[in-house]
Amino acid sequence: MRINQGKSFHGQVRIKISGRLPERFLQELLEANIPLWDIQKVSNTSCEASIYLRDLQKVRHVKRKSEYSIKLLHGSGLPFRFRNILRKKPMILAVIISFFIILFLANIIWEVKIEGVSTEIEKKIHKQLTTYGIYPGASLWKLDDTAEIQHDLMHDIPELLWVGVEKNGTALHFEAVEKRVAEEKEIEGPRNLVAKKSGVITKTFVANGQPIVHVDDFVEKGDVLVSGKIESFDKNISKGNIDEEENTKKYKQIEAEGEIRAKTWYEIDVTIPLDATYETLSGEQTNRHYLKFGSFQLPVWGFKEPKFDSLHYEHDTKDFHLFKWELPWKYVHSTIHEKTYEEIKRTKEEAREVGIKQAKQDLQLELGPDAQILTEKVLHESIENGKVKLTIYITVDEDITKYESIGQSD
Amino acid sequence: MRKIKQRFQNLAIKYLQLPQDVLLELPRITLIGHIHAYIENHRGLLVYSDTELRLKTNKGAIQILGDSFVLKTMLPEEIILEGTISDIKFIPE
Repeated sequence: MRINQGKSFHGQVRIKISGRLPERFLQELLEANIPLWDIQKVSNTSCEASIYLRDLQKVRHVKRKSEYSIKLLHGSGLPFRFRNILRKKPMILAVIISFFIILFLANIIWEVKIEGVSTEIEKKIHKQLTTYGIYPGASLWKLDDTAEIQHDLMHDIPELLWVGVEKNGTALHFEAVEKRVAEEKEIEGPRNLVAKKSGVITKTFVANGQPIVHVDDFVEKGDVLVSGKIESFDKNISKGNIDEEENTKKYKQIEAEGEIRAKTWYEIDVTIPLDATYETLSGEQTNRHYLKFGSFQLPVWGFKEPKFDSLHYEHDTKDFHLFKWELPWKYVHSTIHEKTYEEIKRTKEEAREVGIKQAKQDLQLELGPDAQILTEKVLHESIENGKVKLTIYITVDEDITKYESIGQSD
Repeated sequence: MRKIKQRFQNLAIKYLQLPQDVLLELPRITLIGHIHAYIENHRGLLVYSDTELRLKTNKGAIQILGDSFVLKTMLPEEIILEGTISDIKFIPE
């Protein structure tokens, strides 16, 4: 009965054997170890039987030595079915084409998503990305490494403080942080340079204008550092009226330009707790997907209970739109993060160090990379309710110039 | 020599309780009513037609008569016959 196995898998052929006493030939086939089934005598001189497709060669071999003739009637089973499919050219063509279409579609960018910045910057990033060849519909083949895109973007768009690029299959996600550039107001026309802070001048560099202060001078906030009013040396006037020149000095008003660096000082209060608990995400997360109808949430995917001790939920709700109408159901993707608590215990000295470091960092961030922190000194230190309070005195070398239009100051 | 072998076989059957058809190389015929015959240990096909099947065996031949015979399976040492069986005959050599 084992003959039944694999009949359709290997394929079977029905053959017709003709000749005198066809059963003799059947016997010969048996001796050649060829299994046969469904043998039927059609007439005295002919006989029908089924054999495996793979035995067909052997049958032909046996036939060559005998006087019988063999006719193939029909075949069935997988090999024949397969051959039939192969015979249907349009279908094969369709399969190949669809394969290529899938391949093609899987290799173009479908979505470029930018998060975390204002619409203006977002547009700018989009525009910049388009010049890199990154836009919906562009090929993924030519795409650079994400680190490289990140680097290029940071370089080409100075407003960005940081850009994270993540490639999710055919979607590119950009997460950007905008630099808050505290741009100084450029004043057109005649202007002075005035001090925006009090300090002791350490360096002067005047490109345009009349310097009024010198190194080691002390200046108050608002003092004029470089004047935009300079004496005019008009030769025509000086030649003609030498006497008059003494009485009425000719002034010319220009745009003062330069850099005056001064030593400034800051008093900063910081409070550092001795014991601190921080919440951090461990990075472990599970995802849940819901369909939301009104207030009812139908879980669609993600049923595993997270084995986290403490959880942090993040919900991302997407609306469905059909043309301009909002459909009544929403898709909610919630991410459950594992939250871990970290406790930090500091000694007084450590807290003090952290405080100084923090104060310096904050100040540097406020003043910009141009400022240089020279010295710091702890003026006052006290412990209250498990917190260290510090008053730190910091001296900084920085550019203190500010533009001020002459008309205004006068 | 042959006699010794025969005796040894007989002893084996008697004491080891082995089935006789295996050792004596005799055909074993299993019938299911009159529609199905399952013949093992034959030595070759002699005659096959719609109404008759004759198989060579170790000692002689088996003749099966009937109607609308189809050989459901044919392997070197076994044959499954389907049809309406009316007669089974042993023809000694």
